[in-house]
Amino acid sequence: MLKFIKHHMTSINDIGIYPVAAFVLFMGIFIVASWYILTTDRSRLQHMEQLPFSDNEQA
Amino acid sequence: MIERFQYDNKIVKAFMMATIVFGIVGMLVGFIVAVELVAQGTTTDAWYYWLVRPFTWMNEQEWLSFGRLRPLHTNAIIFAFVGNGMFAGIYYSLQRLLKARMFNDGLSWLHFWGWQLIIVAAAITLPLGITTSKEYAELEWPIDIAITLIWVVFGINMFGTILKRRERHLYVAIWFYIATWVTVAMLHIVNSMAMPVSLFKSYSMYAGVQDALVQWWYGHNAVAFFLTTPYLGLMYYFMPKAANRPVYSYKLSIIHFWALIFIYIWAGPHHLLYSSLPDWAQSLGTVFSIMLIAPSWGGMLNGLLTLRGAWDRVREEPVLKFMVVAITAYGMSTLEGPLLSTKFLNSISHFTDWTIAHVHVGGLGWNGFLTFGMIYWLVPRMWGTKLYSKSLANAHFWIGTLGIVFYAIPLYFAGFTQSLMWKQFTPDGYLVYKNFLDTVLQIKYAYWMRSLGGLLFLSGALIMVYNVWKTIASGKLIANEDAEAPALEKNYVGESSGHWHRWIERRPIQMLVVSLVLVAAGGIIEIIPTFLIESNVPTITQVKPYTPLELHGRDIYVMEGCYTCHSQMVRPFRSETERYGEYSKAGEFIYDHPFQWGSKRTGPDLHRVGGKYPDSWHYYHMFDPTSMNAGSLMPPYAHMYENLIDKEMIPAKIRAMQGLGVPYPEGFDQQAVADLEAQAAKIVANLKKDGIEASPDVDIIALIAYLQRLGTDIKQQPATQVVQAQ
Repeated sequence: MLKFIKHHMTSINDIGIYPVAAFVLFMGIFIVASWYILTTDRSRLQHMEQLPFSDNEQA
Repeated sequence: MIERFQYDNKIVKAFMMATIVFGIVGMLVGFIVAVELVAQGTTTDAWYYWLVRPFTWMNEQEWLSFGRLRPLHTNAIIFAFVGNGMFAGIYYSLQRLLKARMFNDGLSWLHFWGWQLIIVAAAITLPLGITTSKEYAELEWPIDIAITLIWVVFGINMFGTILKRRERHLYVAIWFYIATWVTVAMLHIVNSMAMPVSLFKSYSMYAGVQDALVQWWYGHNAVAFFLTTPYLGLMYYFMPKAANRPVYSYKLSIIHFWALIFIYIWAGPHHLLYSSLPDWAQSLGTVFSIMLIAPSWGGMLNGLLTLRGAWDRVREEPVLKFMVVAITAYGMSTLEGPLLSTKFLNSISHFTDWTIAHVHVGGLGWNGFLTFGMIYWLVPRMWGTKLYSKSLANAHFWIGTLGIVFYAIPLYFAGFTQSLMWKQFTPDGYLVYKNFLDTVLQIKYAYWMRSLGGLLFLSGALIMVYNVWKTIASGKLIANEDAEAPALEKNYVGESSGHWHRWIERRPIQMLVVSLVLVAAGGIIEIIPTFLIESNVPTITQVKPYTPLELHGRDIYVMEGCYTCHSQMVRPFRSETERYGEYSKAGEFIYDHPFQWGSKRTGPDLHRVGGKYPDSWHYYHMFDPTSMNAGSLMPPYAHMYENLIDKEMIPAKIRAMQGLGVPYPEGFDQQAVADLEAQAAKIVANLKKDGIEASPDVDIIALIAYLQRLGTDIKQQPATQVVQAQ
């Protein structure tokens, strides 16, 4: 199994960039998203979550 | 300064009506194909013969057979029912979340009528057999171009509205809409690349393994970004509205969004496990599918917990009932999907009715019920009245729920049963059920029950039609709803404690670009290696291009939708190599524009059918399948014995293939018809030996040529794989 993967992988030029790019992107998303939700203040979130209710309409 | 403006409800009404009409049509076609699939072969002594005769009659007609109508069902449900439902919900919620009328009424109506025309074009061309055979992307190239144009119109209208908004912040639902737009655009364009032969015929730009990978990258993400992300956006708007409280956790919705759009795009290869796709790509698909459970369940819990403190209202409010079941169905199918992506479960489920059950939990439960809930919520508000009957809505809910249960559970049993029967060996090591048909006849009861489930679901929807009709009659459409909001300050500098994430929250274009980068990354990393590196598809020297007659036969195979019931992919299991022969190699498909691996085996795999039976067997079998296999569920194809081979098209087909890199010799297009006639004459001579007088000019001869060619290349001499230089 590993041999089969390795066989294809080694035949790609600059293959190393793929897993690195994937890892960086992937971790980046989670770090940035986590950072965002941990640092954002409550009043902003409250404003955001109330947006569906501010359309002049009787619910 | 307070500005006065009006929300456009008329366009929402138009999309909602289209949702209802095409929903009924799509479900009706679904019911018809469900009965067609099981009723064929019903003999006159069965008590229900006359009951099902209209369906078997349709199945015997060229334009109404299962293979032609099944793509019509899937396209109608995905693009006409869910598509119009999505647009209705987006046009309603977007205006209100942004406190602005849609950017341009003309574009709104161009979008509406353009989309309906595309649907009508699909409804005409698919029964005519005008199809690319790529699942959920069957429409031919002129319609594909129309889809692209109308999608751009929708995009301009949506982004125009976002740019002239009166609310600075973009609510999370809008993020989902943006991701939907950009990803569907990318998927549709990449997967639809084709070489036109004529106005109604084209060949996929990609071949074999690459075509399969692109197709299922598309197919998987059509589910993700057409059936899921827009509906999650609708859930984040309509669920809080219906429950009358904000979403459970806005923080969770942010994580849900970014994680979902990023991970979903990678999971496509899980549709091709154990196939000839390179192993690394298969593994990538599995890993990302398992990871997908986290954001999907985060979203499901966020939706359900929005009902905190309001669960008692679910008892009385049909809208909430529909939404609760919809979100639960979303949770169930997004757990099941990743589980089916593991190689172990996939080896059992793939090609069986388990997959069909799985997609219908999503389709009927998630998309269907969320749409119904949304319609019941919207209609009274848009017409300024009360719902005509809550009892009828409740009746719809229960009948629909029963419909889902009756649909899914029998098909789960069918899937398990058939898969286990395929794999069962005697103590001596032989297949117990050598005849594939035995495994089909065993699950006929399940096919009948799912037809009943579908009928129940359709009946529920008809109750809704009546209820909506009466509700509308008791009110008057508020075509333009008055609203007011302060204009956005032109020179907004932000609050002193400005948060960096606003860079994206308030800027839709950045949101679009970041979303595109994220979804493109997954696709690029998956697809590019198989494109650029020829050694990813080991070349097999014996594999040669199809002859002109075989090529025409292949086009008939595509036209009749044979791939809807037959795979061409022998997986490397002993149970399959015993039954069908040598497992399929990637290098065998390099001239297959498009690939025909299929996704379901209602009938047996056909990749090694070449040479298995004499020509006369196919000749009799296609005319009346029960003559060769008593009890067969396959429809007869009498028209193939009358329709003439379109020889005028042959040179153009050869040239199109040459354009795609298929190595026919220079000038072969001019000799192709002679080559075709010579091969047809040989088949006719073969048939004559078995006492059949056949014309060499009819389609069946080409189809026989194609079937007899299938999978035979590697039998020519000992299979030696020539792997190109590393």
